[in-house]
This record gives sequence, structure tokens and C-alpha cells, in this order.
Amino acid sequence: MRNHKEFRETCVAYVLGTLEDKEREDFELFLHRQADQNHLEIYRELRDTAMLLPLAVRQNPPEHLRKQLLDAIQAQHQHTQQSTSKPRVLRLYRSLGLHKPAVALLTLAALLLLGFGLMIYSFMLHQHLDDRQKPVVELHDELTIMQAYLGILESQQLEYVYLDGADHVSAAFGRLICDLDQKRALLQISNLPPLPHDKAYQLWAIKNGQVINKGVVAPREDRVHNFFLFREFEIEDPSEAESVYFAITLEPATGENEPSGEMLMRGSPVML
Amino acid sequence: MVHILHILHIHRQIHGLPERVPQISNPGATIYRNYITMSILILLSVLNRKSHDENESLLLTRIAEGDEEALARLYDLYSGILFGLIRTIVKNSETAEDLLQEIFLLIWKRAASFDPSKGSVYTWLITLTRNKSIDKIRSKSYRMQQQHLSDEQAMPFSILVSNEKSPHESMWLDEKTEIIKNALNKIPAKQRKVIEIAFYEGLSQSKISEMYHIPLGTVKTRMRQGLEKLQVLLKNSEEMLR
Repeated sequence: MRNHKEFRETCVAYVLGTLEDKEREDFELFLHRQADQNHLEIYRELRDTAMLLPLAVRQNPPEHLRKQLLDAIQAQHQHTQQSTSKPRVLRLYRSLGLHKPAVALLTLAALLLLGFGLMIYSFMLHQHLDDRQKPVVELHDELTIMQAYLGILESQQLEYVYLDGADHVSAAFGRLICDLDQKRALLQISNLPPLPHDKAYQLWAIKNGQVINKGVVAPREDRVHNFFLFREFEIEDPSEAESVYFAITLEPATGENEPSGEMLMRGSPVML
Repeated sequence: MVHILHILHIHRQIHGLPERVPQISNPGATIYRNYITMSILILLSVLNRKSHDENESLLLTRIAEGDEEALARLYDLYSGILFGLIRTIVKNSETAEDLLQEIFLLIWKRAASFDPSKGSVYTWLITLTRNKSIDKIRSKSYRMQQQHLSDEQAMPFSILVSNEKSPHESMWLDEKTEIIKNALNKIPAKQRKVIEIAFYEGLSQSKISEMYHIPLGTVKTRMRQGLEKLQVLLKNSEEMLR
């Protein structure tokens, strides 16, 4: 600004909003960067004076406008609140004309239903997993047996027992391969009839007339050939025994101390 | 003095105080009574102005928080002034009604952007309303609409100084309205007209010069002298009040 008069003239034009865009920008820049306290004081006083002009033209708007505006604000406010903070379910409840207690009850019922549904789903999921896990476990067991079988075949000292079915189960047969080094044995039984309820097959060793319990097995009905691995299997050296043989009998599922059921298979060891 | 009594009358109405007819017994007592009345009014005016500014800032804060009642209160306070301003600029009642609603919806949305360090709520509202109204009359749609109006409907530029007061508007605004009307009547008509054309038509000084066939320098001088005179008159009125 070249002088005080020019500043006041421009300032008056500015506060009345009558400057061209470029002039307005220049004046704002001046106010922002170069104006001193005196300039700012003049500007504020002239601005406040100009701002009072509309008081002379006060005119009340029509009465209906107030209600119209407040209705519009309320509608807009509700819309904003609904779209930002209210969950959809509440909006649904509101649209159905439900109030807070009803909303709470319905929500509680919905939560209970959801909890119950989740429990059932969880139970079914466990069942499903168990069903899926069963074949995996079986495969794992079979793999273990096969590995043991291969390990046994690698052994230097083997005892082989061929088991023949008794007359009434003549189709049945079995093998017992004992690993004298590792003290373990693999039993194969085939073509045995299905096991009655609460019954199992029990393997016995008979040495010099003395009966020794070797364990209980329960073959699967859906398989012709069943394999069982015995760990910590004490082997009676046939060279030291006068007579050693093995037998399988039908016994209660929990096993017996002495053979009590019918004889199903029998065989003697053969040194390989 | 008439003005002081008017304010006292409004104050009594607000607080439900009975009107009292002064019993003039002697000139000394009258001077003493006037002195007391003026002292009370000065105090009331100062307190009223201070609380007025604070209350209005608070109103905008509440509006920014989504308080519909606060917006209704702001509407009651300022709809008369803003509607008068819009109508004077757009020269059409229907457009003014639409624009007033549009502006209050804008206030509802933008209340948080109000910065008290840059001016009062009143200044913010007037600036916002004036800018929106000037934008409106510059818009193509408005100009086309004006072309379709008959000569009778189209309102030539004139300032209709209104005597309307809203029952909701504050004492401070009533007081200022009286002062500005009186002051505007006291400045030369040529100066007043240039000020009013600039403020209500949004024309640049060179446009005013061109349209009204007044030299640019004269436009600038009349504008400056008019507003400075108005400023002095307003100051004097306030000092007289004190």
C-alpha cells in the first residue's frame, strides 16, 4: 500500500466484498505478511462496521420455513446416525416398530440360538474330525506293523511258527514270526470267523506243558488278513525246550490266565 | 435516550419486570435517576455482549456435535437477518427461502469449521450467507430464471429498510439494528447507495463505475467516506449509550 488513504480505500472495498479476485488476493497477502497492528485494527473496525449493514434489512422468513428446515435437519441427522453408528439389525428393529426392551429380548434370543447352533456345529465338527482321523490312525498302525515286519525280516535270529486252523475252522491259518534279537513278534491271522460280542482271540505259548499268556487280539471283521505286533515278546528257544508250540483260543475280551475257550489254531516253531 | 428506554423496556419484558412510570419530582432527582439507569444499562450492555459472543460460540460447538436444538436456537436468533440479507441480494422471496434453508444446512454441516480467532459467529454467518447469495446471483440458472420474470416480478435494486424484529432475536441485535438504521439515514445518499450496491450486488468498483456512470475514483472515495462516516456514527451511538 502506497499510503494510508490507499490502504483505507482498499480495505473498505475488501470488507464490502467489491475487489476483483487479483486485488483481493493481493490485499489478503498484505494483511497476512506486511500489515502492522494499526492496519489490522483499521481492518477489523471497518469489517465490523460493514458486517452490521444486513441488520438494516432484517426480514423474518415465513413461519413454515423453520419447521421445514428442522425436519430436513432431523431427517439428515437420523440418516447420518443410522449409516455411521447404528447396526443394521437395530435399523431393522426400528423399521419394525420395536423399542428398546423388545430389541434387547430379541437380541438375547438370537444370541442364545446362535450359541446353541455353534455348540451343535462344534459337536458335528468333532465327529467329522474323528471319522476322518480313524482311517489315518489305522493307516499309521498298519505302517508301523509293516515297518516292524521289515525290521523283523532283517533280523539274524528268527523263529517262524505256522499256525493251522482247527477242524471246525479249517480255512483259517496264521503265522507268528519272532525276532529273537529284538524280542518282538508279528502275528498274522487269516480267515478266522467273526468274533462274537465280548470275545477276543488269545495267543498262548505252551512250553514243557506250561501255558504262558502272550496277549489278546481282536481282528477286524472287514479284513481277511489281520496283523498284530507284539513288543517285549519273550521267546522260548526251541533248542532248549523239549516241546514248544503256540495256540490261539477264543476267550472273553478281557483275556484269561489259562485257556478256557475253544482251540482255533495251533503250530510249532520252525528254526530258519 | 429513547433508545436506552427501549432497551430497558425489552430488558423488563425479558425478566418479567413491571413497567414503571418515572415520578419526576425535581430536576436534580431526574439527573440522578438517569445516571443510575445509564450505569445499569452500561453494565447490562457489556455483560450482554460478552455472554452473547460466548453463547454463540457454544451454540456452534453444540451444532458441530449434532445438537438439533442448538441449530433451532441459532435459526431463531439469525434467520431474520440472514433472510433479509439473502432477499435483498437475490431479490426473490422463493429463491431466498430456498437459499436460507440451504445455508442453514451448510451451517449444520460446517459448524466445526468455525474458528473464533478469526471473528465472531455473527461475522462468520454474514460472510457465509453473503458469499452464497452472491454466488447464486452470478449463477447461470439464476440469470435464466430472472430473464423469465416479468417486469412486475423483477425487483429493481432497492434497499427496503425493514422494521421487523423476530421475537427470538437477542437484545444485542435489536440494539444494533436501531443504531445501524439511524446511522445509515445520516450518511449522504450518494455514499450510502455506493456502499449498498457494492455489498448487496457484489459488483466490483470498476463495474459500479461502468454501470452507474460514476468515475472510478469517485466510486472509491464515496465508498470509503461513506463507510468511515458510518463507522464514526456507530461509535458515537455506542458512546452515547454508555
